[in-house]
Amino acid sequence: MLVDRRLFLSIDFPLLFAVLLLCGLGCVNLKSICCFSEADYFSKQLVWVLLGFLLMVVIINTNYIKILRSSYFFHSFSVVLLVFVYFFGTSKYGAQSWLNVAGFNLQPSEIAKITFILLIAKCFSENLPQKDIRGKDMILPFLLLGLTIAPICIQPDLGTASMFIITFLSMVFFVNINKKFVGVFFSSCLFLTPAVWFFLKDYQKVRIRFFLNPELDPLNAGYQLIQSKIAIGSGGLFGKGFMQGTQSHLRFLPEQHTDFVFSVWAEEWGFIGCLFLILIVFFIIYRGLRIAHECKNLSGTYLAVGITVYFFWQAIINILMTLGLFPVVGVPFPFFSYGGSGMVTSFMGVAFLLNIGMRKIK
Amino acid sequence: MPLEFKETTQDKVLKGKIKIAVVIVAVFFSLIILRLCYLQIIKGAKYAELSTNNRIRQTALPAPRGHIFSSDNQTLVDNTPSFDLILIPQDTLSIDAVLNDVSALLSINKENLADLVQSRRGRPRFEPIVLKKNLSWNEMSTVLSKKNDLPGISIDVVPRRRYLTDVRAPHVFGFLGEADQQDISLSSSRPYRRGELIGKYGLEKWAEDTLRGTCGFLQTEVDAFGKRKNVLAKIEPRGGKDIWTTLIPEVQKAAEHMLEGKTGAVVALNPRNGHILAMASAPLFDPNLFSRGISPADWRYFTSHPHHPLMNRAIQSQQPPGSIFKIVTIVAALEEKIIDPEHTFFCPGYFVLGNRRFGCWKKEGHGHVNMQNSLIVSCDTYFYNLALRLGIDTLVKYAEILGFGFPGGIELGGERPGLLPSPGWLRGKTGARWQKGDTLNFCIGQGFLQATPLQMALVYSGIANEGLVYRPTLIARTSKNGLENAEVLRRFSLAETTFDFLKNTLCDVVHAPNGTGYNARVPGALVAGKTGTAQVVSLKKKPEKGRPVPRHLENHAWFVAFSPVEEPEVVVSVFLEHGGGGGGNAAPVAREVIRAFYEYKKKRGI
Repeated sequence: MLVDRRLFLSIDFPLLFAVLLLCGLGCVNLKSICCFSEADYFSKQLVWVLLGFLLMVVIINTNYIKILRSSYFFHSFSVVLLVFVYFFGTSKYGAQSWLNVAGFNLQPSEIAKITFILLIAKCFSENLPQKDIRGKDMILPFLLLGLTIAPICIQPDLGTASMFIITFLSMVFFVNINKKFVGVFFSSCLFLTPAVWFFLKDYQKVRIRFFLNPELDPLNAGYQLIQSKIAIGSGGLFGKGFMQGTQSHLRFLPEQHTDFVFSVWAEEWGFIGCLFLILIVFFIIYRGLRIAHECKNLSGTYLAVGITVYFFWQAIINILMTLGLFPVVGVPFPFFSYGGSGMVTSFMGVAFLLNIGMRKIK
Repeated sequence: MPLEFKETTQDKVLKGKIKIAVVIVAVFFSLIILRLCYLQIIKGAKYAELSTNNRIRQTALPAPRGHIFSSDNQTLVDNTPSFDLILIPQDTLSIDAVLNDVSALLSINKENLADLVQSRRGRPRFEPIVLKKNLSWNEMSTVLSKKNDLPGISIDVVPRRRYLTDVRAPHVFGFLGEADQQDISLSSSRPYRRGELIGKYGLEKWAEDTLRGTCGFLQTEVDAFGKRKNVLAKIEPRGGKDIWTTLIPEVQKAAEHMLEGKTGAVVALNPRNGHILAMASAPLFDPNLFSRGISPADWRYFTSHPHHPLMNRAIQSQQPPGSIFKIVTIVAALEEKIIDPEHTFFCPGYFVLGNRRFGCWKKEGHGHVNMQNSLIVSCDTYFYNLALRLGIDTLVKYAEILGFGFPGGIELGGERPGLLPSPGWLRGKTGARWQKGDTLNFCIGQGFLQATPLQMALVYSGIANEGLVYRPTLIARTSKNGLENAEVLRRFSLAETTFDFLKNTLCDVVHAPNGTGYNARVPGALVAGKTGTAQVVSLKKKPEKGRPVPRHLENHAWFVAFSPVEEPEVVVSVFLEHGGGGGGNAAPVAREVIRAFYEYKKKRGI
């Protein structure tokens, strides 16, 4: 356990407190969701929070630089799991991305997100030149990205794969890259996007088509969005109160414990509650970026930045989804949605942030 | 060391970018807060109203399925409105009281209604529960007159599939059933709703994607009593597309009429393009029973019926073809030139092979028989002689060329390929060696050999069309003026003299004074055909003469015909399960089908 008193005191307690507060609010929200259904997400989530917390304590105790040194090993392990899941995993929503271990459904792609950020942070800090980075320098990072998302694409879980791509590209934003390369890269992406359409599964095409035009299928996908909007809007300024949400309890909302937790929260706690929730998330991201800013070690900075942008995109995409401003791609709200693998991964992420923050100077 | 900290320009740029990132993040969150502000504060009152009692009702508007027409645009399958009694639990204060009223009004058992409601527990209270499908006009007017006293009860209009009664062809059109779990799952590109009907059998299944429409929806705002206040959004359902089948209703009717009370099948097709003109299987069933979901009692009746009415015998019944197979032996003999057609064999009524006697169907014997007469009188002994000279391998080769053992590839599911045995097949199956006796059975279409009625029609269409066989099809076109191209199933070449000999001799089978197929004569047309009587058990095991034969020991009757003899336009294959002699029982069926075909042509002036 934490033996070094000096290190213990330099932990970023406001960040830790914000994360635990968010977990607490998430559990409260789940309590409201399961008060009218048979599934007890609340107790299960408490177990996951506890597990995540313990894992965090373990990670904090080892210097992140040591962990970074083995990041190739960790990530190879994740990729092996991803390939393994393709052959032996179980299917949900048309993607074979779950591994059943002793009765628990694990999602190796969640663990891979953290090991991937570790790997890229190491790669960026060691293998890139100091300035004027050109296309040939980026071959290795892009190769690593390709190797990681290939097994995810064949599952096929394109929602998760695009989270990898977004996180990766956001990290690329922070390296000192040649402007011409950026131009060439983005224009080629623009042309490649239509090609991606052919790799999408039918249900994903349906979701994207309905997102672009919800009226096409108001009975299924479009209906969810309309109901989610009604849930959020009807919350008003102060909300309907804890366990008083009607939209969620009458089951108008689908996937309310994962994809649509924010709608449930918005209905019961209103604009004030949402504002509070968003401020907490913003605070977490701000602290993450602050840790990156203060870190005097290049690999630590990249790692902190990577984890923070990962949290940022998860939260923002999830909220935009419930507001009907983004297709329903199944991205959970970090620390807030129900889900074991997601919760453990998020805690691992925060563990690295704290780890970097308390070892600012080497 | 890269891990070591150095104050570089790169580092400064990085720190600058982190500051930019904080700004970007702040902008994103501000935009979300603005959006929430709009939804929750500015539009909050409106959404709050929509959510109270959930005032928004979403109703699916089922799309009518496409119709099925005949190629001359007669309607064979269409839709008719049907009325369902539904209950919306949310709109009623006491479900129990309403159920009491309904059961009294329509004299339905209240227990059943309560069970229906119970089975939907846990579903949203605004979802309608169907209490009774298919209300009669009487029931409907009773309900409508009392509607104000029945809160939560309303009547839903849904399209119901209607199969016209005088042309049924239930095995061709098939029927609908409720979509199962797999159809509902999201992974299909056009997911089905729970309870939506989907083609389960026949053309309804094959053409599901064409016939199925796109369901519409109606989004309405209702008051606290479930009364519709105003329509918020509506998308009209889009009906499915129609299809045109090749069936000729008049010919189909004749086939079904002739099969009444029997068990068997009739296939009539056009040898020049593979169009199926009639396909009937008996016993028939009424597909209308399936139109709104079949009742358990009806389903039990169908599945426990000893003659399996749901089986399409035209493509699924595999039986020995009997004498209609003899043309294969003739083709082999002519092509291999092992015998002069004028050469005669003597038939004493049996044939001796080793120490076994193989009987001819006519115990008294046919006397001296040449090739032509062998077909006309269907003398088995003649064929035993040919078979021993040809050998089993040559016979199998020609059976394969003519299409035995292969499915025709028709649109309907469950088509069976028949069975073409060979020495190799027998060794693999039982380990036994192929005996000469097996060859004798084979050459007259008995023993292991099996064929479906459709297959026999295709074999004879190969003879009629001189070696060109089209893939059998039930679809004439899928749009009003479209045209489906005829697809070649197989092509084989035989000597012209072989085709001529077969056509002329098969014509004599029907028209010669001593022909076995005289029952198939149609006034004003030449018909070529062959009778077949497939033995179920050997004659020895049958009861003595004069005593009635139990049905399951009765022979299968076959008759295959084409007409006219030159440039044939129709091939008819008739199979009657345990139907007795082919000439006496199956030939009249073929005659009536061919007659109906000519009458249709005359009426249409073609």
